[in-house]
Amino acid sequence: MKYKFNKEDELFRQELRSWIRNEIPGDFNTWQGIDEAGEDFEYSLEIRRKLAKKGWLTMAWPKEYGGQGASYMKQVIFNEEMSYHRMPGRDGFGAKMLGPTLMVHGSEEQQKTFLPPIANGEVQWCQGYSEPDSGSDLASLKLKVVDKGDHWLVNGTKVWTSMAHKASGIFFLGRTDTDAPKHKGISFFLANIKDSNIEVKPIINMAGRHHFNQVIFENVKLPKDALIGELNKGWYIAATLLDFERSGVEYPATARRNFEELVEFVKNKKNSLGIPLINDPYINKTLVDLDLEIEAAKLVAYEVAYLQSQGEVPSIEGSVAKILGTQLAQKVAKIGTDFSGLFGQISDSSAPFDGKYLNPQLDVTAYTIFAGTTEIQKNIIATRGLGLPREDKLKTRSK
Amino acid sequence: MDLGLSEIQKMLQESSRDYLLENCTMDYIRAMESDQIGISDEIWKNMADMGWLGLMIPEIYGGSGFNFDDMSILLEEMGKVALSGPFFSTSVIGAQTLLLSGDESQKKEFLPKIASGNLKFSLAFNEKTGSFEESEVSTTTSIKNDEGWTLNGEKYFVNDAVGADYFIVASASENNEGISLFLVPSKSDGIEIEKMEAIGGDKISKVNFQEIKLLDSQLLGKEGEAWKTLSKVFNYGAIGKTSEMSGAAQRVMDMTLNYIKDRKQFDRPIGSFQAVQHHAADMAILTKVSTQFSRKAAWEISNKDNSNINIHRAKSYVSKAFHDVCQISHQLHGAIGYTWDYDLQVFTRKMQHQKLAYGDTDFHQKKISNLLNLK
Repeated sequence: MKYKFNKEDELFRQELRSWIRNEIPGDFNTWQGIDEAGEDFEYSLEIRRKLAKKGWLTMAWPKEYGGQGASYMKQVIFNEEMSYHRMPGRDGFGAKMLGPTLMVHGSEEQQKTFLPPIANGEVQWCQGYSEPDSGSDLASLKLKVVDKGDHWLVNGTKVWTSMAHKASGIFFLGRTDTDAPKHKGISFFLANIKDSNIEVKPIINMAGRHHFNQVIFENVKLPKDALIGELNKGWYIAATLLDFERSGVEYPATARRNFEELVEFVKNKKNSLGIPLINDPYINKTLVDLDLEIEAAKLVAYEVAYLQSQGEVPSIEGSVAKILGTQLAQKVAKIGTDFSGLFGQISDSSAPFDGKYLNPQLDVTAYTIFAGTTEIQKNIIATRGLGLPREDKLKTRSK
Repeated sequence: MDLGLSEIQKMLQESSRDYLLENCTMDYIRAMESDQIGISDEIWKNMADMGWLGLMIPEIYGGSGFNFDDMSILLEEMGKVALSGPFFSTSVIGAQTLLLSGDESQKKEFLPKIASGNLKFSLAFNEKTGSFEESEVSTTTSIKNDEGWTLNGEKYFVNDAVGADYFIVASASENNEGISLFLVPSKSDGIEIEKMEAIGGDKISKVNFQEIKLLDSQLLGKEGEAWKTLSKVFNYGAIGKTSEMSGAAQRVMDMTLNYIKDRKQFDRPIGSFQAVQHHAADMAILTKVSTQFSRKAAWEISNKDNSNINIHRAKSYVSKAFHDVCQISHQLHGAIGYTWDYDLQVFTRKMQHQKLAYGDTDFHQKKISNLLNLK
C-alpha cells in the first residue's frame, strides 16, 4: 500500500506544471480555457504540436512507435495537470484512441501512414460510431459497407460526431455482414472526411455551440486498405479502444480548479446584509460535499490507472469513474450558477465569472450521456462486475 | 502509487478472514450482544496468540510492531463479520493512548499486558454533550492535593467499560487549562458503571467517578496536555471505524448480491431487473469509494501524519456511504431483511455506532471546512 506518487512522477508533475503556466496566455488566475472545437481550434493545434515536440502527446505509446512508454501513473499526472489548468491540445481521438488501435490491429503500412501525423500533432481525427437509430444499442448500427472487389462502398449516416467539422479523418464502424449476429457483422474503417461524397452537417447543441455533427456517407468509395484489422471484427476492435477512454481523472481535476474558483468567489461575494456568502452554513456545507465528491472521483480514477499499471482490465472501475466524474461535473456547474443568485441566468460579463458557469451547465448535460450513459455504465457494473444476469440474455418466458 | 496490499498485509488479511469466518459466526456475534463484555475468553486468548491484541505495539513492548495501515486490514475483516467488543477499545484506542502519552515505565508495565491479553482498557472521554472536541471535558475534574489527585465526574458513552481493567479518564484540571489523562483501575472505590442500551449491542456505559484518589504515577502524559494525544487517538478511532465500515459494506453487498441472484419474482431472479441492478451498482460504487477513502487515510496516518484532511474526508464519507449501503440492501431484500432472524439487520444496527463513533459526518465535514479555510 502506498498512496503517493513516486519522486520521478512528482518531478514530472512540477516540470509539466511550470511548462503549462508558461504557455498559458495571460494570468493563470483569470485563465478560463478555450473552446477547442470552435474558434480556438487552431490555437489548440498549436499547443498540440508543442506537446508533440515535448514528447508528451504520445507519451503513452510504446517506444517502438516513437512514444515514451510512460507509466499509467505518469499519464494520470499529465491528464490531471492539463485538465486542472484548462489546457488545450490533448488528442483524445488520434493519440489516445486511433493510435493505439492501429498499433494492435493495423498493418505495417497503415501504421506507417497514419501514426506519424498523429504523433506529430498534425491531424485531427473524429469518431463515427453513433447513428440516428443506434445510440446505447450501438451494435445495431446500420451504416452499410459493401465489398466491391477493388474498393469498399459506404452508405449511411453517423451522428453526434464531435469535431467532424475540424477533422481531416474519421474512423468509423460499418455493417459488413447483414446476416451475422449484430456484433459480428461490424468492421472498423478509416476515411478521409474531406471526400466529396461525405457531407458534414453541423448540429448546434443546447449551449448554442457547434461541437458535434451529422456525417452523411453517400456512395463513398474507399480503398481496400481502409479496413483496419479483420473483417467483421470491428466491434471488438472498437471495444479495446473504449477502454482507453474511461480512466476519467480529467473530471475531478477540472472540478478541483472550479472548486477553488467557487471558494474565492463566495469568500469575496457578500449577501445583501454585507455578510460573505462563505459564512452561510448551507453554502459552506455545499462546498464540503463537493470536496468529498471530487476526492471520491479522484480516488477511483487513480484506482483505474493503478489497475491498468498492474496489467488488469479495469472495466467496473472505469464505469464507476465515469459515473462519478460526470455527475461531479454537473454538480459543479449547478453550484456555480446557484451561488450566483439572480445572475445565475445571465451569461454576459455582468455575471460572476463572466457567466461562465451557465454555458457549461448546459454543456455538462451531455456528460452523463456520451461515451456510455450513466445507465449503461450501471448495467456494466451490475452484469460484468457483480455477475447479475443480463436482462437481454434471459430466456423469454413461455406464455 | 501502490494500491495493492503488501505481502504481510495479504497474509494478515487471509489468516484473519479464515479465523473470523470460522470463529465469529453470526450466532456468536448475536450471542455476544447480550454478553456483558462482548467477547469470549477463548477468542480473546486466540487474538493474543495470533498477535492481534498487540498488533501495533512495538516489539520492545511485547507487541507485533505492525503499522496502522496493517491494522486497518484486520479491522476490515472484523467489520465483515460484524465483530465489535473490547478489541477496538483496548488494542486500538488503549494501546495508542498509552504509546502516545505514557512514560517509559508506564509503557513497559502496561503494553506487554495488552499484547498478552491480560489487560483490557477503556477510554472515558465523552460527557453528556457527546462531542469529540477538547471542550467536551468540562465537568470531570482532577484536583491536585498533597498526596496526588482527586478525580470526580460522570462520563457518558464509555466503550467497553464493564470488561475493562483500567479506565483512561480525561479530566479538566482545576484552573481549566487543558485536559489531563489518568489511569484508573476499574476496581477502585467510587466507580459506578451504568449500562446505556446501545442499539447495536455495543457495550456503552455511563461511568461515575466519585472522589477517586490518584497518585502522580497514574497521570498519563503531562498535566493539561492530553488533547495533543487524544486528537491523534481519535483519528485512529475514526479511521479504525471507516475500516470496519468498508469491510462491513463489502459483506452487506455480498449478502445482497447473493439474495437478488437467488430470489425469483415474475419467473426470474430479481437481480435481472435493471431497477434492481442499478441499486446494486450504486452499492458497489459506495463500497469501492469507501474502501479507497479508508485505506488512503490509514496509509497516511501510518506514513505521513496523523492530522490531515483525508482522515476527515474518509470518516465523513464512509459514515454516510455505509448508512446508504445498508439502506439499499434493505430495499433490495424486501421484507425478509426486516426480520430479526435475517443477519442483515445486525450490520445495520452496528452501523449506528460505527458511523457516530469518533465523529459523525457532520463533525468531520466541519473539520474539512476549517482545513480548506472555508471561512
